[in-house]
Amino acid sequence: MRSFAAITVYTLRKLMNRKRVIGLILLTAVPAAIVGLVGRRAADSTEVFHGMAVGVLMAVVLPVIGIVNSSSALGDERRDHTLPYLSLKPVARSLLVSAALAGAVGATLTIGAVGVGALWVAGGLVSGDWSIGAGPAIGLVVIALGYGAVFMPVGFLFKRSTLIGLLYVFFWEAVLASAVTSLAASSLWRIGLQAYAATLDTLPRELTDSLGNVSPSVGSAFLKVGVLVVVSVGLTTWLLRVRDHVVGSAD
Amino acid sequence: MNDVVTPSDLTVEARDLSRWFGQKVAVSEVSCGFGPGVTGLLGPNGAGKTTLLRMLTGLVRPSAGTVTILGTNPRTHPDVYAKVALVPEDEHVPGFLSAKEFVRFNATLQRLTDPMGAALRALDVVGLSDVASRNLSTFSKGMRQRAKVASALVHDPDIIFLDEPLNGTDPVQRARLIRLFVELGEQGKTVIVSSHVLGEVERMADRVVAMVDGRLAGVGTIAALRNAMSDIPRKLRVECDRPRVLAGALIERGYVGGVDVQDDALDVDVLDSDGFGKEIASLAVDTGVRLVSVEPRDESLESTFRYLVGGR
Repeated sequence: MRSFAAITVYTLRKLMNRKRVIGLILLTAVPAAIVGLVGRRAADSTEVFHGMAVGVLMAVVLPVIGIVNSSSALGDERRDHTLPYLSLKPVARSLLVSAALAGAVGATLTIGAVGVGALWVAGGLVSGDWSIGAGPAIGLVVIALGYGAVFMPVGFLFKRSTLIGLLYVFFWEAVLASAVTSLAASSLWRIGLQAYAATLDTLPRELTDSLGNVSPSVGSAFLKVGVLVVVSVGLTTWLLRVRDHVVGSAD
Repeated sequence: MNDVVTPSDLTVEARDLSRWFGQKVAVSEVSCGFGPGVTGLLGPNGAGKTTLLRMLTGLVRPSAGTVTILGTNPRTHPDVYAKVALVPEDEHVPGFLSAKEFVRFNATLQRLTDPMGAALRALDVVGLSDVASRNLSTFSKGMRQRAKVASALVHDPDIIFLDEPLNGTDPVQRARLIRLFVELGEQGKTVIVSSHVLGEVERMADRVVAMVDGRLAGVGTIAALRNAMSDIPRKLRVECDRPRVLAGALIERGYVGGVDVQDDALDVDVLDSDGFGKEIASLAVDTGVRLVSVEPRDESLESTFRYLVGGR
């Protein structure tokens, strides 16, 4: 357990370096800033809140943060040749991978919480409804787990994993999965939206449009990301066994 | 199998080990074994030492062949790392950690009961106690090397792989580290030190595994390697005003095997280095030749190893 905690904290600290955190926090603050600026003047400030929470925070900002963190978790260690400081230890590979994933998810949750919190405060102030923060909060947890699970092995395998992730977000999820309803289930952030929507009594139109053929359900959302986490840990553990722990030829 | 110890003492074994990266063969069919004491892994840059060390430690998967540490494959049995340590050649360290945190991190993963105490002791051994709280990102290359050594030794491993461990260290620290590695060898630990500097290896190891172009060039004691090197004809260029006259005198005395006479110099293959060194000046005076310079044409470690390989 001490090893798990040590690797998790190590990963968290590595990912939470000042430059990266400042950049990502500025990014997370964008939806809150927009809600604060235009929410009061809008006819329905709750609609603006959900529009920003879904269309910007959950569909773009949180996925980007999740991709950046999770693809760096073990991938950067491998490319930076610092993975030996983790992998040449009497620690089960699955524990190493789980701990690194926990660190990456923790970093996404920490940074994402700033954006969700700011959005909640902005939304609460303009609408007077302080219960609207629950949806984005639960969505953040699901998204952090989902993108973490998928992009940790991608980051281990590919140098340009962040680019791959951005293509997935801006092409597959934003264009294809939006246009073809049956593809909505292949979109990770929509799993978060599935949990988000389940916290609301009535679904705003922005949410039903984005959900496609996915039904609101917290349990189903967590079940899906749970499966992704198990598969990810298994896959990355296997990769550690069969792939080199440092990238590139040497002397 | 080219063992540098008796088979019963082997702690690390490589059998028919090869690794290629695309078209490039980094290590080719290397079989060797290591046991207690300091063994130098010697070879010029690009010889395949780092790739071999990475395969031996389980960092890199062999394209062919097998590795065992204490009888197990490290890639499938990570428990063996409780007895193993590696000081990688790469300069990269987790710069966001202080030296103390870095060493303690390894101590924790090695499940030591007092990770912080062990970390402070290890940092003291390498002379980094005064800067233990400083981040590794602020360290010089030599200091980072010493921090890596401290981290590697924190759990008192039985098998220690050191990949160019003296890189970047100043002469005082170099001497200190060499003393430390020798002591570890004397304690019965298996210490494998890679280097491309023969003099460096000579100060720590009495056994050597020599590599060239990814192949095993020689295995044995430093003395045996020295003997092999002394048999190599040394190629020298002698600049003088009358090369033909000097060439005749050198051949007559039996100091040289081959001579290539040019306008203002001669390239010679020296058979008797001692005799040549002692006599060349007086020989020039005796024959009335004005010597300008005597310089080695081919005295690199690489050429020595190439010769060894070629001669096998």
